[in-house]
Amino acid sequence: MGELLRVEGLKKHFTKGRQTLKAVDGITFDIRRGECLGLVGESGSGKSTAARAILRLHEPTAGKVTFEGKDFLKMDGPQLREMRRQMQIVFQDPFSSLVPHWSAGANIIEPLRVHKIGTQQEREEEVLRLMELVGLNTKAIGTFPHEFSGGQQQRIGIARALALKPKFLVCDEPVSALDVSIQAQILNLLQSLQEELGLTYLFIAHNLGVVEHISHRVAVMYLGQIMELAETEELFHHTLHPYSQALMSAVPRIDVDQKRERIHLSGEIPSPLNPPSGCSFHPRCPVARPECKAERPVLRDVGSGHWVACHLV
Amino acid sequence: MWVRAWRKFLRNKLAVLSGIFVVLLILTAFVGPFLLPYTYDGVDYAAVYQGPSLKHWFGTDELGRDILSRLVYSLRTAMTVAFGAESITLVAGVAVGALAGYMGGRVDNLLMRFTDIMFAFPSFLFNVMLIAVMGRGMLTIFIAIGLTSWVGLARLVRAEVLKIKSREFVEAGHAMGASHWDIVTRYILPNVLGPIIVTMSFGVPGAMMTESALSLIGMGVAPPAPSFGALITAGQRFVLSYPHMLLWPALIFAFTLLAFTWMGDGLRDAFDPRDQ
Repeated sequence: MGELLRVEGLKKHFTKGRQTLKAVDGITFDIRRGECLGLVGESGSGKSTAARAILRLHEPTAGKVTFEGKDFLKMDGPQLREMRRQMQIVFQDPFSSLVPHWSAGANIIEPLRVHKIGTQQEREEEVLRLMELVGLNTKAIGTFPHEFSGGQQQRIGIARALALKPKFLVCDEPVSALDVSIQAQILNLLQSLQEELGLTYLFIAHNLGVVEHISHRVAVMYLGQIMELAETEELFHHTLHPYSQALMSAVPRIDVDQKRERIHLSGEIPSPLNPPSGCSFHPRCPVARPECKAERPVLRDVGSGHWVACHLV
Repeated sequence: MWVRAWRKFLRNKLAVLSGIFVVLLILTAFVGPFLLPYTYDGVDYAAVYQGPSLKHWFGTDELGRDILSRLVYSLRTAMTVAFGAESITLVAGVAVGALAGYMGGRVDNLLMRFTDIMFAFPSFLFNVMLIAVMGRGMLTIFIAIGLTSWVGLARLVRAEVLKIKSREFVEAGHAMGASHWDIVTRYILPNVLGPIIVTMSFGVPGAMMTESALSLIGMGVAPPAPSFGALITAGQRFVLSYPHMLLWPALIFAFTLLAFTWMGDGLRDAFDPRDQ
């Protein structure tokens, strides 16, 4: 699998007065064509900001985003618009992500209108095709967003994201606002769409169970940095970073033979306005050593594509 | 949203009644002058200070002019001033508010400080000064009123735009590459239409009040053109001997203002987002 997207040293800082909030503080990873990269972390870890910075919904402070070998952050005007067709996003809150005063059809047709694709009739046919593709009843084309259930609203959001035939789709916690029974439906839909259309996903979640189900590789984020990145299987069975281990211990398991101890983390995630020195996880780390306080560990490959940022590994 | 608001409005009897009255007033203001047998400045010294009669339904004034005709023309003046002023308010308020809210940062700061200054300045004094500088006249009056009343709308629109621009559908618009113009006019502003309509419907009686207050101090439309303010001013001089000269203008004016206000109340309740 070749590389589709590469993110290098991406930073997004928000400045207000004299304070700087380092929401994303230098993350590096690549996403391979056709894969699903899971991005997990607690709320406030910067996952969503990272995704928005990659898509330039928030202009990144520093770093580089390369899409199919082209520098995405240097683009502007028509070139940027053209590039946006390749990269779309599905949002967390399905209702809020749809234009409330437009019907389902109008919402789905909008990207085609913006990019002046096809005639009106062709667009309408395309909308019907997209609605079928995501499992919506085409009779609901004139129905307004608030009349749909959350799951159906998310299907509309997915149809709209697919209208431009993108190669890369960011899914920003697409199921966390949905009912548990609906979550599986949407996840299965996203998975089958990926196979059918050869899509590449960046899948953000705070639920490891969801990520394990859909991702090929997983990156764990904490306080704006990537702590660990590995193949899903590898990460779940050979967890190396103490933070990832704590996360894993919180995932409910059915198998009883594997005795595992729940690792409790004390305290809250520190404020990104005033991040700890050295390794940002050291104040909550159960195995922290003096050097963790002094020096920030770099993300390094410990073999077979398993990357960890920890002094102890 | 529109269907729901409309249904809710229809359930409010007082508001619907006021709405019908408002429509009638607007029709009268436009069509009335063509149906009247007298002009507003037709002097008739044989028929001064007459009480209501079949010939002059609302009586005549000190120069024998037909009060009904003068009232209909006053209504026309009031409507022209109110709608003229409100158009300026609408354009300026929405433009400034949307620009400040959407752009944020330095543009927002600059526009809002300017708005604050306008807000802090006594608006009636500002009107009087403007009219003193530009001269009396219908156009001057509604420009003056328009220039002072956009401030409130600008603040409202800015606040609403700020709230809506962080919603995810706006981000979706950016992600698909929609232009800023598209995002403001097609994604954001339609959501602010409710509050804008409500503000405007309260703005109309406000502008009428200001116009009549200006007439009262002799800065309104120039005589002999009538306006509610001028009629009421004239009427109160003769209130003890000829009360009809004050009664009719005051009553009609009061009902006009009430109708707009009650209609505005109904619209505000209909667009209230809290019970949707």
